[in-house]
Amino acid sequence: MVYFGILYWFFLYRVGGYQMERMTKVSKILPFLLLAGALMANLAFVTCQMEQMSLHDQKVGSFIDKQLERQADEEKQENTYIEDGFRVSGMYEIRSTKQISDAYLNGGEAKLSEEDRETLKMASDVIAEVVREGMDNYEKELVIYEWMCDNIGHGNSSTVTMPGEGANNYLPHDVLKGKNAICVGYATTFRLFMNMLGMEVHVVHNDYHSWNLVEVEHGQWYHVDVYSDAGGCKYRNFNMTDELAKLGHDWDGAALPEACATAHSYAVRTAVPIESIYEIPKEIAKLMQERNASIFFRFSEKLEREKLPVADYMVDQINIAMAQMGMDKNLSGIWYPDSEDAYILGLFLNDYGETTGGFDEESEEAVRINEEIAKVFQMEPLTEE
Amino acid sequence: MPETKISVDMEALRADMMKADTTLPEMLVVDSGGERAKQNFTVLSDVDYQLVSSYFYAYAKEGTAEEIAVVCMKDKADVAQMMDSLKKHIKDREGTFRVYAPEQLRLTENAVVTRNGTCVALIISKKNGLVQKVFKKSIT
Repeated sequence: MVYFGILYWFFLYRVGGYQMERMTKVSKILPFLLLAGALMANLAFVTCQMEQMSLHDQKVGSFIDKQLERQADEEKQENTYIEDGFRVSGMYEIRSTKQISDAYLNGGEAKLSEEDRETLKMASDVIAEVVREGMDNYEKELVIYEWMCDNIGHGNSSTVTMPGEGANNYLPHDVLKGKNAICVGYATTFRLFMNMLGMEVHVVHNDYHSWNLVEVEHGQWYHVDVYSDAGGCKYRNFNMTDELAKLGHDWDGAALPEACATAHSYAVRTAVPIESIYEIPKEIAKLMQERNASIFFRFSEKLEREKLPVADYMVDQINIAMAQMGMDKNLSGIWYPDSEDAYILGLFLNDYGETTGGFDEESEEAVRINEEIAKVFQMEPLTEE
Repeated sequence: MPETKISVDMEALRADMMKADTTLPEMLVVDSGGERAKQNFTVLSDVDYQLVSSYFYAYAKEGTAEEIAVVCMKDKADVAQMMDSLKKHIKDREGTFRVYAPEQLRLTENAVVTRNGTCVALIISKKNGLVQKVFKKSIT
């Protein structure tokens, strides 16, 4: 409106010459003064508007950022798998050993801490002892697994603690030095070995247990629980599929690779050919002499799913027979997937008469200890039932 | 507020994300390049399609719970709205599965809605952590 008023006035001034001639000098400059004033007012108005818009933009920006922050916080809670830094049972931290395996593969030992150097030395010695030239990944994995089963005892079983040994038996350094471990110690030490041998591997965990997932061949992942096998039957938890691992493990696999291959499962690699299920008792008898033995059978004819319960009956009957014979053993079995929808029967003979603590509770020493205790406490000697 | 400009090869992103989960069943895909792009988008979200720069939406052919979708917005300001819309989509799916296929519920309950720049991903799959990782890494 102001602009139109000024333009109208200006039009009169320029066009209506008759009236203009009669105007004073002051009135002649009045339109210019009005025009300048209007421009100034307009400038102030636009500046104010821009400031307001800027403030508005800032508010909108801040709102968006806050919204995105909120969403990001929600994401954090949704699905992030923490391997290193996670504390199993709230206590035993999974710590990275990448610096050690990197030093083994690429050099740079000098940069390691003294403890890491010692770990590297101990782990390198084991690899030198068991890994041979020309072994494939499966064979390397197997010899390390066997070495760990045979040489690392279960931790947390000692009542009398030896200072300095196994104090942190969840860390590879103390596991290799003290030769005992809890599950986290087995899993992190196995991961260290696999990384040193150039294999991809994860420590899988839930709140109370941990084990490994290892890529034996490109895209072929397998679960390995050395801890469970070191205290029980060897190979039962070696190179399992997700499906098999779920029989005794619980985990969130959303951020971990799928393990569905069977080519390198221990059962597939080592199964003994057998004609029929009736030959099994004879084979089990051969195993009786061994402690915590396991054996895998591949049948010459493909076993139909409906015939699988026959194995249940056979295992139950063998267990009854062993109990009647007074044997402190237990037989259990698992059907392993073989190629082309066929199954391999894995049988495990647990020996409850043996302890894994390294002390024979029926030895002369044990008898003597119980007699001395009985004397002091004036009671009958304690006996192992 | 400067708009975050990102370059996204949606086809490559889709292939990489779907490859990350080896457990996925056979999936059907619709995307912003198709003739019915706008109509197909309404199955996924009720956000105004004018705000969308590009999208793809993969879903299980047999009607199981698996879904992977990425929607890239023209403006960063609309990202939060898109995320909320996808969360609503998950709730709707949960409702359906609760009635018709309860065994699928576990997947929808663990569904992930996440963002990277102006792009938002919906991931309903067994290996959603691995798929999420690809999404986060792929968009630069």
